[in-house]
Amino acid sequence: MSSSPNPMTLSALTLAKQIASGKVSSVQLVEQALATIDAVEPKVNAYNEVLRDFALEKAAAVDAKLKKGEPVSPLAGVPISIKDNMNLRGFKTTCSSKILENFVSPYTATAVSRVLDHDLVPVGKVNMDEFAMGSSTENSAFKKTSNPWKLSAAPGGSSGGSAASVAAATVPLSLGSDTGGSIRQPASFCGLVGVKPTYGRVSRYGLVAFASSLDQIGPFARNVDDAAALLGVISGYDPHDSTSLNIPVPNYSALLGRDIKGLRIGIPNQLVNDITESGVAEAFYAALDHLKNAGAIVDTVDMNSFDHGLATYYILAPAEASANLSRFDGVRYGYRDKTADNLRDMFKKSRGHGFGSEVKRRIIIGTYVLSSGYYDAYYLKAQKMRTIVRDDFNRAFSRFDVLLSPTAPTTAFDLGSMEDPLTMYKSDVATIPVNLAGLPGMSIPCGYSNGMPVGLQVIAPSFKEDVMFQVGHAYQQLTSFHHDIPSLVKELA
Amino acid sequence: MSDFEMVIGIEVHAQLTTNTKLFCGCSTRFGNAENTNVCPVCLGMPGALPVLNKRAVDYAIMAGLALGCDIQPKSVFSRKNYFYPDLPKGYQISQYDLPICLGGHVDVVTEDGQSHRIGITRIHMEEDAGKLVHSGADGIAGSDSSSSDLNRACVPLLEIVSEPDMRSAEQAKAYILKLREVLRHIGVNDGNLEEGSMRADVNISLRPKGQSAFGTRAEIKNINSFRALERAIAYEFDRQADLLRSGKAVDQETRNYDDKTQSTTVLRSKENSPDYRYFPDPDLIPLLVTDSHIEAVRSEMPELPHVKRERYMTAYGLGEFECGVLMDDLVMNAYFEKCLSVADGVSPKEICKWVIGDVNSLLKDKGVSFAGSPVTELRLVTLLRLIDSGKVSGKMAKDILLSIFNDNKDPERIVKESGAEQISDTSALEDVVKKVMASNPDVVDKIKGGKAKSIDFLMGQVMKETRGQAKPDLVKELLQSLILG
Amino acid sequence: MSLSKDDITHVANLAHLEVSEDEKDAYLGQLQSIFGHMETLNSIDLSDVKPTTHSIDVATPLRDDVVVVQDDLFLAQNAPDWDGQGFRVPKIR
Repeated sequence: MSSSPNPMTLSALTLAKQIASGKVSSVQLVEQALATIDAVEPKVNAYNEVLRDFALEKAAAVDAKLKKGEPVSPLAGVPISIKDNMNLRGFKTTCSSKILENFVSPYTATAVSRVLDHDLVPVGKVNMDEFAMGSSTENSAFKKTSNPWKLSAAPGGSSGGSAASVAAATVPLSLGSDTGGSIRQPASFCGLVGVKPTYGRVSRYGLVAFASSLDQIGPFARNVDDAAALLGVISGYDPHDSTSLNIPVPNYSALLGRDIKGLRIGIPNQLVNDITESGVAEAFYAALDHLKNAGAIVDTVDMNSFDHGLATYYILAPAEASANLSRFDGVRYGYRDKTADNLRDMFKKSRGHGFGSEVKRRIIIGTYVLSSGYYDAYYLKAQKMRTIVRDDFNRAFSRFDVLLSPTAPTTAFDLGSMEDPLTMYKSDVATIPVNLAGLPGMSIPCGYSNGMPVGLQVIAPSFKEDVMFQVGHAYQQLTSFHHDIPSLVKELA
Repeated sequence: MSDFEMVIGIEVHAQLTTNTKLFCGCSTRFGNAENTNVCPVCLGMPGALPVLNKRAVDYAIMAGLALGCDIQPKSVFSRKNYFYPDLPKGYQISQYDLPICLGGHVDVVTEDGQSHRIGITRIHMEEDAGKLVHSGADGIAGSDSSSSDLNRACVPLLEIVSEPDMRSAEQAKAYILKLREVLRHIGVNDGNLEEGSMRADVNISLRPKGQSAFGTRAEIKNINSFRALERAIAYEFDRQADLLRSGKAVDQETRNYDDKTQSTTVLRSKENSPDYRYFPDPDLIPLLVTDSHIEAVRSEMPELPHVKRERYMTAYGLGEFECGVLMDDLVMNAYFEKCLSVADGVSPKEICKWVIGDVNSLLKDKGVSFAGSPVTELRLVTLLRLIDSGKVSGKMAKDILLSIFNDNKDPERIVKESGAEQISDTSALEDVVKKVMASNPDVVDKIKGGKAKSIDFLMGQVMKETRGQAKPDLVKELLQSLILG
Repeated sequence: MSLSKDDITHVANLAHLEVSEDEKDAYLGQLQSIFGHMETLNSIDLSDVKPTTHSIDVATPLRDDVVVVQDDLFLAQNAPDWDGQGFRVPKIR
């Protein structure tokens, strides 16, 4: 381990303990986070907005609470970054889109409220693919975020800013959102733990919708313990979200540490047979060996429906998005084209100029598959395929406790290297089926290929996040990848 | 006489009288300042999500039960996609292929005494749009800009779709009136057409008399009053009949009714019908209604108007007119019902007479509602009981009613304080009668001489002496017995 | 069936989305390959399969009919053209 003085390379729970014991104050930590942001931002470009005054004020309030001996949460005082598609009252929520560039939110997302109520300190809103559509964060209207492991590489997406902000050690935690892999893939690319919870586990209220039936908010962290703690903070029923489920939230942290002896692990053939990057395959199978040595029983399983996951997803998600993005019409907020002299032109120009090209492409796809004459051929068919994907998972989970795969077929690709949309879409092939079935999935760092991090995806049955964490935690007891930090961070230290 | 028969189907939009909107906690109050009954949800703010109002569901179920529908165990909200400045999300949340109620009917009676059963195809729930104010003009035409007020956006509506069962404007009017009465009496709609809480779109087609197949229909929008309904139907009948007689076809289209010109014009043709791209709203999961939920709503459903009318006519002997007045004003109706509950022997017919007569005109005159006026139900019934027992005359009662209103006092107290009680005590009256006889010996003589009519003069004197409180029958009786023996 | 440029124009109109001719040209090939990939769904018999709208099988929750008062909503600040009371839009026709 390097003797890095940057405390942001430590785990969030360790930092919270230091704060609670008085070794360091939350204000000091936040100042450190802000200083690191100043140092690395010119290279990484993860932040759309740094909430300097807000963060220092909040940190001081947490310190005051601790001084008075008031009860605080296990993550009290720890800095966190928030993907810029979650509302925080009084600050901009841009979704990295020109159409929302100047939108100041009048309300706070439930997940963000929970973070605040649990004494965490948001220090910034971070970059993303515009409206969460993309796998590299290059679709941001504002800036290109770099992968802290290699600045010429993409951080993944769409929650690339979240991943980069944690990997660059500006913060130990971040909130991202995952519709088809947007937390897990960037976590994989940046050597982090990234969790996509069960659909309905975390409230979507205040998360700007991409595809409502697939979106979930989830944590980024350096290790499974931190991720479990943060998921505990943001989980739970919200009366403002009709799709949030009223199911008790287990104490994820307390459930860590169980061994995996006899645990049944399934490997979907469809996700491992065609891995093109050999380093990814090697890291994945090495990880399986560790788990086998720890007593897990590993076998392969056919998941035929996965061959159609991508097609299903790229019908359903754009269809929902095409309607979700209709509210951006230049009437009540957001960008308006002022040259139009009539209503229809105002709508068309505001949307045509306000949205970037990937968003427009998906609106076109989504509108097409819902339009008269095509609904049955595309949308309805995809909904039926979704049923088959669910059935496939149900069958697999009658045999296995979890399913494992590489999170992405490759490590982080270079910025600007993905020109064909379909090729880009295919980088989500392993993560998409999990969203279609509404299951929990997690990526944890499991080694390197050509010097870039590889992610191991753990998929569990509905509301079995604890089992997912159990596997990840057991794996971390046998490996040290989760302690690694990019050389960029070491250099700055 | 026409050679064509008209076929009419109607879609009624009725606003539900909930406190809050269909999917958010904003007030539905009419008349608040623009864009004050709004929140992130009904403004379509990024990330805001809908949550269904329980009372709106209860009301939809109640309306379905009142109209004889089958309440569906599972119904689904869809998104109807179109762009307009009064539609914040760019889609309207509406039930589409799986509505909450299917089937049903109402029976209406037309002037000729004929009863007609009008089928109801379905009832679904949906959110209303906002309101556009066009600057510098009455409508869109001629206006340079418009302003969007979203107070009404997301207010809950029921859309009630009839079968094409009506054959005349009269039936159409009777149908809407009947729906209005039912919805108002069960308390789910206030029936206020001026504020737009009930709106109707009318589908009209013609067919040669005797033909069973339907003709091509036109849908008429923007009908805001019963008069407009009749005029629009009459206009459409003539327009379509002219087309058909001259061998032309009626186009399937949506037409707008303009009450100024009393005519309809094309809004859009079938070819230009919008592609709404309906799909199930992924922000809302299906609405599941259990049998116990339905029974709970049924148990709270107020008496249906046709049952009430039957009770008024057969049990209380009220006539058609009286029923009409009592049923049309819900506040008066509630007042009447409360009177009945404290009547204790006073006849409903007498109560009705006073409620729709003197009390109604007094309150109207003073601009005061039946609810909360000093003329409480108990005071009115007490007053009527004083009449029954002969303690006050009908004429005195009218004055006492006024005093109840003006002085906010109980009728007994008014009677006591003013000494206004009718004198029906023979011995007390006898002295007065004798005194009047003594001061008018000539008149007494005339009566004795056979001029019976002169007794009226003496009666007048007695009433004067007693300031009108003497019971006239008794005075007459006394005079006759004392003079004529 | 292959997607045409006219389809893009039609759909862009439905979506009230201005798309330049250059953009349409660029989209056309991309969308054809994306829709080509979607054809894989035709290889499966889905006639007897029920559609899934959500991965959760519960009833929608219901909210009590109680008025909630709102904070300041920054309407004037966020509106592109606020006329003091409402959201002004250019002439409709």
